[in-house]
Amino acid sequence: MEILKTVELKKYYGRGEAMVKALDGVSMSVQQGEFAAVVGSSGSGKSTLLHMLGGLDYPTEGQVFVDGREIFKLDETQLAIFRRRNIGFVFQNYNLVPVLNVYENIVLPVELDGEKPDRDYIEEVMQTLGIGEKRRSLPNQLSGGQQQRVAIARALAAKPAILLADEPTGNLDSRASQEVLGLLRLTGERYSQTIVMITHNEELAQLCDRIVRIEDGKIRGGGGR
Amino acid sequence: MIWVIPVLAIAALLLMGAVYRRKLRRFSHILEEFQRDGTLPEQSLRDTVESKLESQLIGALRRVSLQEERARQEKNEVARLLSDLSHQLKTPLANIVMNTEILKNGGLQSEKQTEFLLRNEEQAKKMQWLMKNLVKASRLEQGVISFACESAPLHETLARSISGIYAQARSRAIKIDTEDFPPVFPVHSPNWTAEAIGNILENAVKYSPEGSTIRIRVNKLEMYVKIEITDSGPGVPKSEYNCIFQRFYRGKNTSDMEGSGLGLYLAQLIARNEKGYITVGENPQGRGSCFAFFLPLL
Repeated sequence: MEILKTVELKKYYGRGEAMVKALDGVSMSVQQGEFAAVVGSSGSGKSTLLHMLGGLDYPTEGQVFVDGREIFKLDETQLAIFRRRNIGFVFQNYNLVPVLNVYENIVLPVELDGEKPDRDYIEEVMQTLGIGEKRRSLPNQLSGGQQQRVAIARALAAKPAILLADEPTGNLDSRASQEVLGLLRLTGERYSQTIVMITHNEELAQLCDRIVRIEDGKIRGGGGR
Repeated sequence: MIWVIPVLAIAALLLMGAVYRRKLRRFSHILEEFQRDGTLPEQSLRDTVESKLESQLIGALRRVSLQEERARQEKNEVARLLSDLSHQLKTPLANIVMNTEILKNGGLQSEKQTEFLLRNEEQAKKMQWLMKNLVKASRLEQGVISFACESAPLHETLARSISGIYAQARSRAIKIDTEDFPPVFPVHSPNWTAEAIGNILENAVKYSPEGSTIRIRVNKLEMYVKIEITDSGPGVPKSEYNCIFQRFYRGKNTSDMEGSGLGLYLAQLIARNEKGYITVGENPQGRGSCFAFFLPLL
C-alpha cells in the first residue's frame, strides 16, 4: 500500500536569471512499511524534498499525498494537527533541549500536545535504543550517537506512521552511524513505520529497502511505481 | 416556574447523550469497516479529544494490517525460494539422465567417455550443492517467524563457523586469521549465526586468490558486536552494495563462478531475525571486500 506520493513536485527560489530550481518535477512513491533512502550530493534538492514530504515547506507547484490525502490542500491548523499525529522528524543536529534530561526531552512533544505519555511504551523504546540507563542525564553528558538515539526516541514517542530523517548520521563517526542506522531500521520494523531518510552516504543507504537517487532537483533512479 | 429547571436539565442530558452516542457510532463504524475489508477512513483533523482518539485508532489498526502483511510476505518469500530451488534441480538432473543415456548406448571413444563422466560428476555436484541450500531454506521456513535468541559466547559460534569452512580454505591454501578478542556475549542463536557467518566465509574463500588470508576482527560497540570479515578477492562495487543481499542476485563480475545468489540472502535473513544486520564495504588495506555482521548486545 502506498503511503507517500509526490506528483511533479517543484520548488523554485528567486526569479528570472537568478532562479534556482531546488526541485524540478519530482514524482516518487513510498510503500507502507518501506525504509527508503534518498541519496544525493549537497545541493541536489534532497532536503527540500524531505521538508515538503513533511509539510514543513510549500512547493511552487505539484502535490504531496500522505496516506491518500493531499497535504497542501489542508489549512494551516489541519496541517499542523496532521503532522503532529502522523509524522516524526529526526534531524542532523538532534535539536534536544539542553536543560531537560533524556526522559523529559523524549516526552516533550507529547506533553506539549496536552497528552499523557504512554510510559510503558516510552520505556520500551528507550530500552530498544539503549538509553534506558541515561534517562536522568542531560544531553551534554551524552555522546553524539546517544544524543541522536534520544532524538529518535523523541520522534517515536507520538507513535507516528511516518518517520522522516534528514542526514541523521551527518554529525556522527562511522561507528556511531552504523549503530544509529541499524537501530532506525529495527525500530521501523518493530513499530511498523515507514521511514524516508536523506543521506549523501551511499554506504549507509545499503541498510534501506530502496535507494532513490536525486540530482539537480530531479529523480535519477529508484522513484518507485 | 420552578419546574422549568429540572426539565431543562433533563433535556440537556438527553441532548448530550445523543451527541456522545453519535460520536461513539463513528468509532464503531471505523472498526466495522476495517473488519469487513481492511479499509480505513480519512482522519478528521479537528483539535478535539475525539478526533485525536480517532487518529490513534486508525494508526493502531494500520499497524496491525501492516504486520499481517509483512508476516505474509516473509512466508511467501521463503515459499518462493523453495520452489525456485526445486525448479533449479531439474536442469542438472535432466543433463545427468541424458549423459547417462549416451554412455549407456556405448560406441564412444574412451576419451569421450571420460568427458561425459566428468560432466555427470559436475552436474551431480551442482545438485548436491542445490540440495544443501534447499535443506537450509526449508529449515529457515520452519523457523522464519522467529527463532530463539539468547546471550551466548561469540567465541564458540565463530569457532563453529570457521571449522565448517576450514577444509575448503585449506585446499586453496587460504589462511583464516582471527584477531584475539575478549569474551563477548551478544544476543543471538549460535546455530543460525554460525550458518550465516559460514556463508560469508564461504564466499570469502571462493573469491579470494589462493594463498591469501581472510581476516576476522571482532569489536564491541555500544549496542552491537561487530564482526568484520575481510578478504582480498575482487571486492564488491559500490553500486551493488544495495543488491548483493537480494535473493538470486549475482554480482556483475562473478558470472564465471559457481553460485546461487543465495548465501548472502540467507545470511542477511538470519541476521535480521536476530535483530542484527550485515553490511558490506571495502577492504581498508587494499583489494577485497569487508563484510560486517552486527549482533545486538541486549
